[in-house]
Amino acid sequence: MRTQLLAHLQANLTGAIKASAELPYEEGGVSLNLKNLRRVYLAEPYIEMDQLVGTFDSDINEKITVVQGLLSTDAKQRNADLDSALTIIAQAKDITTITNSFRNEFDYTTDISNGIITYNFEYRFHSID
Amino acid sequence: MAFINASTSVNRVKLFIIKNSQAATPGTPIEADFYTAVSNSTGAATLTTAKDPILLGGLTDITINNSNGSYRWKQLDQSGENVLTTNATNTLSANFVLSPDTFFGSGAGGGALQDGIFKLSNDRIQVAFLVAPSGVTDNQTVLMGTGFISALAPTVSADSPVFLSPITIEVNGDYQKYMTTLAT
Repeated sequence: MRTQLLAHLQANLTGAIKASAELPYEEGGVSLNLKNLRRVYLAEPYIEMDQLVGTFDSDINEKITVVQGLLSTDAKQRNADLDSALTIIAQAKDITTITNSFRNEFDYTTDISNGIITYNFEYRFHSID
Repeated sequence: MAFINASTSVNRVKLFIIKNSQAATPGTPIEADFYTAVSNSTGAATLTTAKDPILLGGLTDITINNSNGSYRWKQLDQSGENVLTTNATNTLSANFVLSPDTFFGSGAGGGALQDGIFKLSNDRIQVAFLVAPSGVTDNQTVLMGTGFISALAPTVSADSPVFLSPITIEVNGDYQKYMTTLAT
């Protein structure tokens, strides 16, 4: 699902804020998103499993694929593209190339440190397993 | 205290359904009408393909009802009522997750497996059933009987997008209690 999300974000984030294909790793003790402001980084997905319906033979499980992402920008001077970029990032949860989920969720939190605001966002795709 | 264990893969609850007309003796089904062999180590049953049984999967709960009627009368020489039990109302009710194979059937043919649960109910076809409260490994007590499927009500919701339905088998007459013998 990271592949589909990344393709969508790279195609639609065409202003000052863009999406990077790199994973949000640290380089020299500095997170990539703090080093390269105005770049969206998507982490590798991870999966949570919840029992949806318990049965005697084989439970119906809900598989939640979680993709986390990061975007950092200058907090002192709000980027002109920020609102539209956040809208594009939020709308990416409903892209049609992700077909097997029955509920898609998106939310983000922010934190500010050393003059940089970081958006920690998370996509959750619920499917039947 | 001993208890009926329905929680393991070997001993989980099973419900088999065939058309009553396909039983060796319609009205009095036998174990071999539903399966020909069972593994004592895995609990897996080899279905009697000639009878086209449905092994209803996705059961979430099952209730075996044996509700006797009663007749009460009072006598002037007694302070308490007297009672006699009368004919029982027997039903087998459950909830299950719908599978297209068992609910709508596998296609053309004359058996329960081809018709599916919905057609058996819709056409009011008498069925024979075997319910195994603790699986069908050797020397397990099972109940057999005949009846009619009713109370189907498939439901789905946005939060649980798999169809679930109640099912009731209105039992025709008595349950037959039986000790399984086909497992090896």
